[in-house]
Amino acid sequence: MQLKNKNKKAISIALAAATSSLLANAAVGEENDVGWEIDTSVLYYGEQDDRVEDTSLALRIARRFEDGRAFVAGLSTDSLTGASPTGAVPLNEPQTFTRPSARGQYVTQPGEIPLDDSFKDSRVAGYVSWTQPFGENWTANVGASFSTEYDYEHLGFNASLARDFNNKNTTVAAGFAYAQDELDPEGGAPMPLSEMRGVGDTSNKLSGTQDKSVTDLLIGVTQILNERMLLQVNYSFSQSDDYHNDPFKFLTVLASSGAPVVGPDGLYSYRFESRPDERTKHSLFTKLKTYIGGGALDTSYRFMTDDWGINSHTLDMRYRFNISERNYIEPHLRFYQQSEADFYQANLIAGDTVPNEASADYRLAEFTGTTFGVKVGHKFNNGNEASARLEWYNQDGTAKLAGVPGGANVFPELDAVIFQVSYRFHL
Amino acid sequence: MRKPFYLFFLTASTMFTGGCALDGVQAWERQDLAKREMSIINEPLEAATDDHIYFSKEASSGGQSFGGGGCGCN
Repeated sequence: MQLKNKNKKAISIALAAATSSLLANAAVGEENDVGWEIDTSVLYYGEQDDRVEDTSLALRIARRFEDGRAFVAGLSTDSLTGASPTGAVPLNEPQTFTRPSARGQYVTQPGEIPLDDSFKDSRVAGYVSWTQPFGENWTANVGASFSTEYDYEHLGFNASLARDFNNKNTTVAAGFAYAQDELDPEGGAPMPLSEMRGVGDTSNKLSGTQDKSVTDLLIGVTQILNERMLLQVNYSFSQSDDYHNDPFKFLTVLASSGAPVVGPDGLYSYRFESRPDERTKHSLFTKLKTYIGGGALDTSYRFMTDDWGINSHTLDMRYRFNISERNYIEPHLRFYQQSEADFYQANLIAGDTVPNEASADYRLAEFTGTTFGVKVGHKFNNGNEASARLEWYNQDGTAKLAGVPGGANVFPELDAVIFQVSYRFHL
Repeated sequence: MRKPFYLFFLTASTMFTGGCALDGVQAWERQDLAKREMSIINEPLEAATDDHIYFSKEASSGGQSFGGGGCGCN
């Protein structure tokens, strides 16, 4: 059974609870101790055509003491199943693929997008953070995070410092995070650009585990603009080193006629992807929160650019409209657009020089992602709160076959449903 | 590549040079700002969920808080 990884966002969760809360809460002076606040949620994420499904349970406990000290911890579990596009292109004939473990094979029917249907994993992630004010205007935060699954381990820590200015109307924060990830896929990670082999042939597999380290730096300013408006501007830098490949993604090698080419062990020819061994990202993030019409309007924009040649724009808007004192409805719209990575290509051509770097992972292609959703919430007499949201996420993009007649677009369009129920209570 | 830096420092420096104009909202005038839905991340579990999903499905992550490491293989 092949087991794959989802993401390791624990560090990001911890920092969301760290840097951002430093920025936000210091600015508004919200320092009442209301006891332990417990957040719980159940999430269902499902893609069309039996692609990826995730059921996730999450718990977050937090306490903000009157002197500004705060403790936050969280734990989440994911149960993932389904199938994920491999990067191989649809053909007019059946295709046989060897599973990444080299212990079995699966067949994709003519005209269908090759999906590895053996994806199954469970994941546990956790984080903890402590916030400590000192002096009149300073706040420090330290945190740690972990996640673990069958073939992937993540460990991270972070620290940040914030200072208030201008009668606590301005907060400046700077943070640092470091993470170490370790990947150990069953059967070994494939050698970059090696050809897929038959069952039991592990001659193209690397030995040992594959590591990646990530260093993040963030500096941000939160400014109260007026009695109903708050602005945050962040710059962040991220540097990651070593293993960046997805060991389960590969490229189809086509003849210039567009026909498949025979490879080793009776399979068609597929080569495992090869990404650069480092990546540098810069992001500029701005968020404006406005209290208008009896509700909170949350608007954010992020520009991201990296040395893989990817530029992206993300616009997110949600408006919490209070229908009554106890009930609210919150529509949500998110728009995302990215350019393709320099080394992205939908396929390889037989006889051409094999490039040093190549990936047909559609997530490195040019595409647009759109999210529509709505959330409803209810506050109980005792201050507890229940909410549910239903969202629809679509991806459509461009992944044109190169070097063959027609140049068909083989981008695997995605439709997904996100359904989350949350409950917050106090102890 | 340089544009984000430029924009950030322009914004930041504008804020500080205009410091006097930025301290006008007193603590007792913040009843709307103090509402939970007006905090920068008012629903942390939901925000973490979204980060989780979009990190797995897109080539960008982070920005508001730190982007995490990880495979994001699906």
